[in-house]
Amino acid sequence: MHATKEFNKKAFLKQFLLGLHVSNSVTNSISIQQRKNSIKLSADLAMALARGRTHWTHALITKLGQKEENKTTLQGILGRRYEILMARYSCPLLYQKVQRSKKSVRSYRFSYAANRRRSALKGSCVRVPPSVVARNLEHRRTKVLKRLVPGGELLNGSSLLSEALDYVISLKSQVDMMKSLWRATQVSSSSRNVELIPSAPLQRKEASCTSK
Amino acid sequence: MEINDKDNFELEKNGYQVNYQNASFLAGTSMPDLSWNAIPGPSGPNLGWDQNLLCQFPKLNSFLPPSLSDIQADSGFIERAAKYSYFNGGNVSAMLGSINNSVLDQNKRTENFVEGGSNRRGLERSETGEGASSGGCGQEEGTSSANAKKRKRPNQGNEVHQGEGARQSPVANCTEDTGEKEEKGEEKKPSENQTKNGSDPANKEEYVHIRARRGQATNSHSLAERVRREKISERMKYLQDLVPGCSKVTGKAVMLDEIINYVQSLQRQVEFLSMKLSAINPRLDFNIEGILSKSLFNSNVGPSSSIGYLPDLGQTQLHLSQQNLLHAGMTDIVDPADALRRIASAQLMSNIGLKELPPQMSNAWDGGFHNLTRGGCQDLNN
Repeated sequence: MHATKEFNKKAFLKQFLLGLHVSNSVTNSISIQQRKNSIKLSADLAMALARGRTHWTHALITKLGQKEENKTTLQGILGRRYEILMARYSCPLLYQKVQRSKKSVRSYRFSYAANRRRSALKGSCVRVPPSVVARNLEHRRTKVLKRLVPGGELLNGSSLLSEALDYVISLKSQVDMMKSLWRATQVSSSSRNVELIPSAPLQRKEASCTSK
Repeated sequence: MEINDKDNFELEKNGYQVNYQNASFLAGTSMPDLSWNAIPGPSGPNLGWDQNLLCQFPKLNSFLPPSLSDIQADSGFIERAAKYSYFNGGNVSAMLGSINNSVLDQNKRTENFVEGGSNRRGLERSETGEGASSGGCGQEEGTSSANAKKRKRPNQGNEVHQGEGARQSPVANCTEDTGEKEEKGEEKKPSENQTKNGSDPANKEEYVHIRARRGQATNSHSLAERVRREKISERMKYLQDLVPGCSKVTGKAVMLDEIINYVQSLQRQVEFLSMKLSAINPRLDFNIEGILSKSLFNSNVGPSSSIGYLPDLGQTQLHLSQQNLLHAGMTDIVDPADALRRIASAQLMSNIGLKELPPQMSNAWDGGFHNLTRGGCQDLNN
């Protein structure tokens, strides 16, 4: 079916750690917010880089690169690729609002207005035929989905759905990776604090106690 | 080639006939100068071709390139091609290149429409299935104007068509994976044919031939729309499998809602996890044992929730995972000039460089690690 991220866990992890190293060196962030942002940046970037070349990965990287505070970090992580990517995908037209077709907007408004008129004549509540209701719902939700999926503003219909599919897969694997990383650090930190081996020399115990 | 084709014709015909009963596909196109071609190769779960059909048309692939020409693609065709790339894992361009469309005589086309759809369905389905080599579908279309009556019965019709349509210019049909037509379309696609092709019998114009379903409008617009809708519904099915708890949900709007909720929850989880990770690591340095244990998780199937696996795996697996990680790290580094990368990789190397995990691990390692490996098991297993 679609490419899964099964094989990219190592790439993701490597990229993630690399990104963390870079962001650690680049920024001296003290606050938790900043640290969280840098971690999130590294994670997103790692996910996008590990996935390869799809529409949403490019859109995500471009979006990340457009923010001022991320630029240095991105440059450190991507190196030479940064300039190439930014030059290629920083076209301002990319993320402008897509011009809605006037025809569809007009027809939509017309049907809605017609319904209102009809119901006003009958004096009852707005009676919208179920097809229009379904279309409205779908339209609204497609808009929301477009906002959620990076680069989705430009896509339509089935391509939007396929990009969303890919994005969901990558997100899921990203979350899984981060969860297991968290668990690993949890376990390691807890193990450090526990006296594991009775015969362990005293100095090691002290070292472990003081390390965390 | 032609001779070979003719030789195989009977064989293919019989095999094809046998398969008609099984297949529920529309017919495909016919190759020029070939007696009869069917497109072998089911592409995936949607196709139900018999294997013997596959065996019978091994030569099809070789037939296609000479007769290839520009493809005047329908919008629906492009959409379908893109969809097929999902199934075939690939090469839309190759698929496009290999599909050969040509226009048949309009009369013949209509008559072909009249005939039973099963054979055609089969051909078209096989064509869709064919990733790179679909092109000649056996059949008809224009093959037999004279055999309209005989075409009522699918099997017979197919035979007749094969005989007739042998010399016809091929018409490539790209059909939907979802079985297109029930059977004799009343006017299968006369409108589309008219719009797309001239009434030139031996014209080798390419176009995309879509079968209309029985009782459905055959306007070219509505056909393209149907193609689009089917694509969307297919994506929805995939998403339904992916998003948990959506198996019982039907309808586009509700599915979209679920998808949106899922994406939002995943994004929120990412934020939350990054917050947690930043909280425990004041300096954003993930200790190497975390990496190693993570690589352990990677080597296991899915993320294992307990590091108690460690004693079971033993140290050899740890070595392997370390080496894998190292390899991944080394090979993927694209910009060797980046000093930081060097540092990071060197760090990885130094940490992983100790292939053995000797009990006398130095304190250069994070203190807890060797505790983890040596004695941690005992504690963790509790």
